[in-house]
Amino acid sequence: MRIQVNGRELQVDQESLTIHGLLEELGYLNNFVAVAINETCVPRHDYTAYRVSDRDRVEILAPMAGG
Amino acid sequence: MWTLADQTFKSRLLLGTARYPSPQVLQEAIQASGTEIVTVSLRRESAQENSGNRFWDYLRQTNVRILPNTAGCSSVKEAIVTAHMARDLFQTHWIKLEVIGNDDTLQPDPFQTVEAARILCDEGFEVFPYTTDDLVVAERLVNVGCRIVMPWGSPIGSGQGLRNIDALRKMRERLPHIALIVDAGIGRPSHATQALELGFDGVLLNTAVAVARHPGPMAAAFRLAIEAGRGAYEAGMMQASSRAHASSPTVGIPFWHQESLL
Repeated sequence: MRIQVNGRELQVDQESLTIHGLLEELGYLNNFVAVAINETCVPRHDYTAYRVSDRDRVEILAPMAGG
Repeated sequence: MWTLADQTFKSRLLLGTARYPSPQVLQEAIQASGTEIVTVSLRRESAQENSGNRFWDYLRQTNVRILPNTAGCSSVKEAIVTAHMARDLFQTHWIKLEVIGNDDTLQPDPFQTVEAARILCDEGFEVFPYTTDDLVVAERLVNVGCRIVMPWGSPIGSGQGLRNIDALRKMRERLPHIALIVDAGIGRPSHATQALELGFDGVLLNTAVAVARHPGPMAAAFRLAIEAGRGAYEAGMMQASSRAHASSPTVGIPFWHQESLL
């Protein structure tokens, strides 16, 4: 499937993946991040259930210095 | 001690975490300032760089409360999604709401800020809205459920201090039960003192400490300035007068006021 991650087009081999699976695939699994799919936040307890589909827009955000 | 959003704090300083020369200097500034609340933002994370996580590891060691912000958002939708993501990440219902209306002045968009505040308050967030010194906007924010209002002193990062004292004073008078925090524009400790003397409950600042030649000592200076301002407010300041009044008693002045030597 073809998805967008943090604004970049990405080809993923699998046809469907859970968020947990996607984070693992992209190397984020041990990172402290929050995820939104198509501009909707997905709570972390749904990462193993929620499936990312073709054309989804994925945002992966982490804490950053801010005022 | 004072109460903010049902929590008790000693410090009236909320400190931003951006623009410090290094994470170590940030830690030093947090410690010297005595702050118990720091702001953080959310940004896209690269799995390889993992910089957000390193920043977070440093911040966690300081044991302060986190106030995530929606900096960079310019619509209600973006602010709401960011608030949801911040809640999920930091496990807090506190959110510093920033909806910017003008990229040049970094002025908040009052219409979208009020709308986003309404939605987030309804969802159970404790909203810390960044706004201007406009009283009507502040009242609208209170009407939609905000218990805290954070007017700017002057534009973000400008260091110009409190540019509209009358408006801030009026806001304090008209919203006596709302926690008012001056957010943005504080450039030096005397600006912070002034805000506290006006009866503001606290100040939120970042750049004034972060870009100081020595951020740690500057953070300590702000701590003292804020204590001084609050102390003065609580002690009740004298009213200014257009006339001079002798401080020393006029009765019994020696030598040159002798009525008669004979």
